[in-house]
Amino acid sequence: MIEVSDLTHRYGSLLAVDKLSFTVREGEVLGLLGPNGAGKSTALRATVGLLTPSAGSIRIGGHDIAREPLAARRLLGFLPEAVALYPELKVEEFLRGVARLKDVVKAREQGELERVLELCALQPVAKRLIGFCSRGYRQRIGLAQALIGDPPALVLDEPTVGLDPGQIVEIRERIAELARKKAVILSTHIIPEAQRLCTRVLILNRGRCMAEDEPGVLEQSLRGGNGVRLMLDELASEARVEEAKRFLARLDFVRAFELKESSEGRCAFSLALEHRSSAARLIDALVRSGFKVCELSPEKLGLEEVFLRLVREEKEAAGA
Amino acid sequence: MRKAVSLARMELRRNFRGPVGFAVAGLFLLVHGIYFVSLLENYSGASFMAINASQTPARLNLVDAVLQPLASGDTFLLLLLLPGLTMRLLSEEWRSGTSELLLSYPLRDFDIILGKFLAAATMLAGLLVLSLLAPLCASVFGAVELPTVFSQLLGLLLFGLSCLALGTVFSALTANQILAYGATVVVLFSSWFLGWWSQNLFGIWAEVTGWMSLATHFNPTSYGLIQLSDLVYFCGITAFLLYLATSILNSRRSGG
Repeated sequence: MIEVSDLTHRYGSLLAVDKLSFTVREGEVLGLLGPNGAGKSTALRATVGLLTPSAGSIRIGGHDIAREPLAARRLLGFLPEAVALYPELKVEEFLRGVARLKDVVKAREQGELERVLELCALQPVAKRLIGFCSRGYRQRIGLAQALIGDPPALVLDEPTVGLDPGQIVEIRERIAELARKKAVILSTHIIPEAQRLCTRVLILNRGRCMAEDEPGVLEQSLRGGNGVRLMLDELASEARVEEAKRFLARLDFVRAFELKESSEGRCAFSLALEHRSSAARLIDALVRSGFKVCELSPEKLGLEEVFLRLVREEKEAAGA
Repeated sequence: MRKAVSLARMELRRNFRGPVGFAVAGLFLLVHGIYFVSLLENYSGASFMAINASQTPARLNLVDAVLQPLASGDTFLLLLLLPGLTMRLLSEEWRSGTSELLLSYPLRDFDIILGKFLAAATMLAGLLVLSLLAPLCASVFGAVELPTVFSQLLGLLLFGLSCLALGTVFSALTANQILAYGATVVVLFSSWFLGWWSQNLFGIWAEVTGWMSLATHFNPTSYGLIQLSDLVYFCGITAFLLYLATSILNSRRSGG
C-alpha cells in the first residue's frame, strides 16, 4: 500500500533523510523509531506529500505522490504531531468540511461523519467548539479527520504525545483496532508503544535506516544469536572468575560473553549462543568442569536496548 | 471548484466566529456611513444655495456630488480594510500549523488559494451589498442613475478583488500576519500614489505609471463608464496574482 524507495531529502546542506526505503502492506503497522532530528518527521511529511523530496519515489496504492498527488493523497489519512485544528469551528462542522475536502460524496457525508464520531468516541463534543475541547479530545479529532473517507493508509506522527496516561491507552486502543485492516506508519519515540502496536520497526538515525524488522527479530539479531543470562555461584576468588572466563572463551558454541556483575562469589554473565539448543550443552560443560550453575535464562534485550545500542554504534562509527 | 467552495465556507464560518469579520464589516459601514452623511449634507447645502442663487451650478446632481466621491472614498477604505481580511488567509495556517492538514488533503494548490480567496471575496461582496444602502437613501433626495450605481459597484468589486488577490500573495509568503498586512497596504498605497504621480508626468512615463495604478482603472467606473480595458486590467491582475500565490504555495511545499 505504501512504498517508499530511496527517499532522500536535503535542507540546504543538511541531509535530513538518506536513501530511505520501506514498504507497508495492509494490516501492517510500521513503527518509525529514532532520536530527535533522526529524520522521522521529514520522512513522514514527504510520504504524505507535504514536501517534495530531493530524490526518491513514494507510491501510495500504486500512485506516485509526485505525479498523481490527488489520487495518492485520496488514499491517505494523516495525523501530524501536535495536531493543529481550527478552534473557531465546531467539531461536527470541521469534520464535515474535511469530508467535503476529501471527496466524500454528499449522500455518504452524514454516515461518514457519524462513523468517525463513533469510532473516535467524539459524540459528546460533536457540537462543541474545537477551541473548548480538551487536549485528549483534540487529538481524537485529529485522528477522526485522518479517518474520514476511510483511507486504506494512515500516517500517524507521535499520536500520543502530550496526552495523559488514560488518554494514551485510549488512543492506542483505537490505533490497534484500525491497524487490523489498514497500512499504518507510526512515528514515535515511546518504545513500549512501538513494541505494543507495531508489526515491524524501522530505526532511523541521522536520516539513515539503521535496522528494519519485527521487534522480536530485531532484538534477537542484535544479540548476534540466542542470548542467555548465566549465573555462576561459588566463584570466591578473582582467579576462579578468570578461570570461568577462560572456560567460556574455549567453548565453540559460545559466540560472545560479557561479565555483567560480580558480588559475594556470584557472577552474572551475558552470553550469545550459537543456537538455542546450545543451552543444554553449556550446562553440561559447566557442571562437568565443576562450576556451580544457579541460573540460566533467556536474556531479555528489549527494543529500547536495541534502539540505544544501534544509535550508540552509529555515533561511535561517526566519531571514528 | 466544489472543494474550493467547501474551503471558502469553512473560512467564512471562522471569520464570523471571531472578531475579524465583524470588525472589518463594522469599520467599513461606520466610515462609509459617516462619509455618506457628510457628502449628503454638503449636497443639500449646495442645493439650498443654488435655489437662492440666480444661476444653478452645472454639475449639481446626486451622482457627481455624492455617489462618485463616495465610491472614490470607498476605494481608499478598502485599501486599508481588505488586507485585514487577507492577512490571515494563509499566514494563520502557517503559524498555527493547520497547513499540515490542509496540504495533506486531496486538494490542488490552486483549490486552496481559490477557496481562501473566495471566502474573502464573499466578504467583500457582502460589504458592497451593504454599501448599496447609500444610493438607496440618496434616492429619497433625488433621482439616482441605476447604471452609474451598477458601474460603481462593479468597479469597487473588481478593485477589491485585485486588492484581495495581492493580500493572498503576501499571506502565502509569510507566517507573520502583521507583516502580510503591512506589505499589502504598502504595495496598494504605492499603486494608489502612482495614479496621482502620473498626473505630474508627461509622455510615456505618465501613461505607464497611470496604467499601473489601480485607481486610474477604477476612476472611469465611478462616473458610470465601464471600459473593456479596465475590466481586462482588473481581471488580468487578479488572475496573475492568484497564479503567483499558487506558485508560492507550491514552492513552499517543495521546500518543506
